[in-house]
Amino acid sequence: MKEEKNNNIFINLAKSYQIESSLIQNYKYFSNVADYEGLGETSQLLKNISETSLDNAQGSLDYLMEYSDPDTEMPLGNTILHLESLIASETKQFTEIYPYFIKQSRLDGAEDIASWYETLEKLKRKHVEILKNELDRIKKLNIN
Amino acid sequence: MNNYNAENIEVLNGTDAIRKIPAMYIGSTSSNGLHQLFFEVIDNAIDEFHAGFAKEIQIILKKNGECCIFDNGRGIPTDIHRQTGLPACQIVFTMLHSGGKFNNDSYSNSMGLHGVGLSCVNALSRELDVKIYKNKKCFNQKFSKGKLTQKLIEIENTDNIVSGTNISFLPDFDIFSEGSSFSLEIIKNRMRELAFLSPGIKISIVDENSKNNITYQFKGGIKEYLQYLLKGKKLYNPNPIYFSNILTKQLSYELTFQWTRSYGDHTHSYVNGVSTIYGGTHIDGVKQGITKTIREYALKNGLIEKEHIENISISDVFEGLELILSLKMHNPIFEGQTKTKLNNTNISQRLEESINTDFYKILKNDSKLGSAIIQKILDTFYARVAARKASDRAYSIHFNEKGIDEEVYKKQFGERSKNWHESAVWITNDELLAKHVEHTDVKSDSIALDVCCGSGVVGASFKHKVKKVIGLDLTPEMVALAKTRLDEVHQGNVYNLPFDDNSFDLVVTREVLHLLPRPELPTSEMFRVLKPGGQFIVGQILPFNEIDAPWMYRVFKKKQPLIYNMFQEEDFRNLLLKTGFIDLKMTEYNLWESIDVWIDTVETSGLHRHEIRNLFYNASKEVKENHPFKILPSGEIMDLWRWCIFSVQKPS
Repeated sequence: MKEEKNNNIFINLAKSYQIESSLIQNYKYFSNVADYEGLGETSQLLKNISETSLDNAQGSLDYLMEYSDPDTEMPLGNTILHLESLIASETKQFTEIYPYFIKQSRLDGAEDIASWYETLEKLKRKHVEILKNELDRIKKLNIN
Repeated sequence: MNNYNAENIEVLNGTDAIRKIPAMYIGSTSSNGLHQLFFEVIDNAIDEFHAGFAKEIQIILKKNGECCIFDNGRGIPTDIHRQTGLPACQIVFTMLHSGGKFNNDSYSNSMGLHGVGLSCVNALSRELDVKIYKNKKCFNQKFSKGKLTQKLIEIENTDNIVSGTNISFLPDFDIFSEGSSFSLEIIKNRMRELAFLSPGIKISIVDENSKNNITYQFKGGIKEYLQYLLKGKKLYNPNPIYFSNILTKQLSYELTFQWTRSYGDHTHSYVNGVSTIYGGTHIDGVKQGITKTIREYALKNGLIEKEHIENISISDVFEGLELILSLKMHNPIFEGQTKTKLNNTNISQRLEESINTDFYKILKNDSKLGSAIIQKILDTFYARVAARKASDRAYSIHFNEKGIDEEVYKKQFGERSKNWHESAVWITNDELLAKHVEHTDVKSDSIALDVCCGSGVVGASFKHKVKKVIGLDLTPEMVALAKTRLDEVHQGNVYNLPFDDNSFDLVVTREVLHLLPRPELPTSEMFRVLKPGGQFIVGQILPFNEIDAPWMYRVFKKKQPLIYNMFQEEDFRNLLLKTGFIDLKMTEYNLWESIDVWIDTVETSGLHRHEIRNLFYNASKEVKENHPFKILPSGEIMDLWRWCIFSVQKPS
């Protein structure tokens, strides 16, 4: 694992990964709207680009594998490491990030958005439970 | 594996490949896949009708799960196929990508095309028996799981049939999901549709299970079909719009449509009789063509101001539109073998131009019709803009002691009161109401309050259990409806119930609290007006678990912008217990709801309806494993809703 603190290469890779990942979602979402508007060819074009953006995001991830998960700064490289990083990332979401968002949304009077975050918070908790079980299972297989 | 050589390479013949990965050929091994077998055989029979030979199709659904389909067309060829030395019919049933539809000589516009239809049916059938009638002779061949069990032989023509094909097949129920069987309802719907699309054909169905005999025969084509679909709907323009065009030898279409006073758009599109439930390039052309014409006509006749023209969206034009498109073409390219979406790229523009020309002529020659349609679309446009403002306002609510913005709720539910009982199955479902009533634990001289009573159906179902039922609703229209069912109805706000403390023995409400920000305030109000020891019964649709909850949140929020809470069971229990209630009991009741009916409503935009459908069509495997729903062959979505009915007490 390469040193990532204050490393511009790591910082830029993390940013490009984030940009391309969110672009995939924009393209897919907008493709659906174009489909509704009867713009089938535009919809297909946007869908195609979303698939390319997936490659673009994963291209940055190819390099990030040599550093760490930009979200958790935990090492990457094999499935056990990946599950550990995902567990840490999802745990952070339901213990810190979403509880803060829920509180803030309620203070801002956006009750519906708070409820949306609550569904995500619970889902993250469930995903961590599933991932932990899977991690335990494959650790017993002793394959990595 | 050390000895990896040619012996390890498995070569599957056609029917073995189908049996190994059936979903690749028929979409799935669920009920939809099973019906796909039926449709593959029917498609061939219908092709014989359109080729000018078959006049009649007879279907028998037998008690043992077998299905027999007869058409009096030419009969599948029985002569020896030169390339293989086998009877042609044997090739059709056992070899992939065989058949008479790869050139356009035998069939000009066919439903089946990929040449896998009958071989799929054969491969996935425990038994298949085909009788082919030609020149009053009858030939018979039998198969099992795709393999020949009886060579083609001539047998006695006991039925005295001149020509035709009779295919009897018993699906291999080891392949299809447990409990799969042919549904008379699904078959009836498709056969009715095909009878409309093939004017003159006679289709009869005999169901030995239900002892039903049904015959369909229509002469009016898609015009008659539209009238059938419009039954019971309130119409905007009195006469449907219809036109047809032969664009080239290979491409022609018929189109008919009519605006109704409902909200959703209902487009039914067919390519050579195949129902393209997910639309495709032909529907893109229709949407663009009609919208372009409306804009041009309105602008030219000064019916819409120039600056508003581009704001009139497809959603405005298509709201309430019932439309049937029947396209006939050579070489359609479908997405997937189940043919649910058309992909031919050159179709969209050709249809758009043709529709634009013909529809414009109709409007030009009937200015009364033109003005009425434009007015309808403008009404929709203004309603959409108003709804958006209402929704924006609701979105930015800063909740305070005054509670919610009542006008937003009054406006929406006032509008919905017009067809409240038809807007969802759950509203009047007797079993669901009974599930609420069975919790009742108060004396017969009790007084009950139905909060947010709507039309009063919930309160009315408790009438035989108590002395008096009083209703409360915010919306004057709903209050008027409820007065026909309840003893007394008040107009009021649930955040500030207009009743004294300790007034009621029983309070009931259903599917309300998710629409209210800070639901602990209304539950506190209900607690306040209950007498000590009084009972609160509340029904709520909840997600099955935490996995389907975010997906359900999106579905429900797109349907109803006023959703503030997607409760999960634990949240709802906490809400009631933290209010001060005790002795919590809960029962569950699962109810199938038609999503298409549920989303055909004023508060759901056209785009949101489209997005809701896609949320079902593209639901993740994780969601599907946790939340049951069905997409019927017609494209209709049936969702299983988990109703949780809670009963709690106010401490004595």
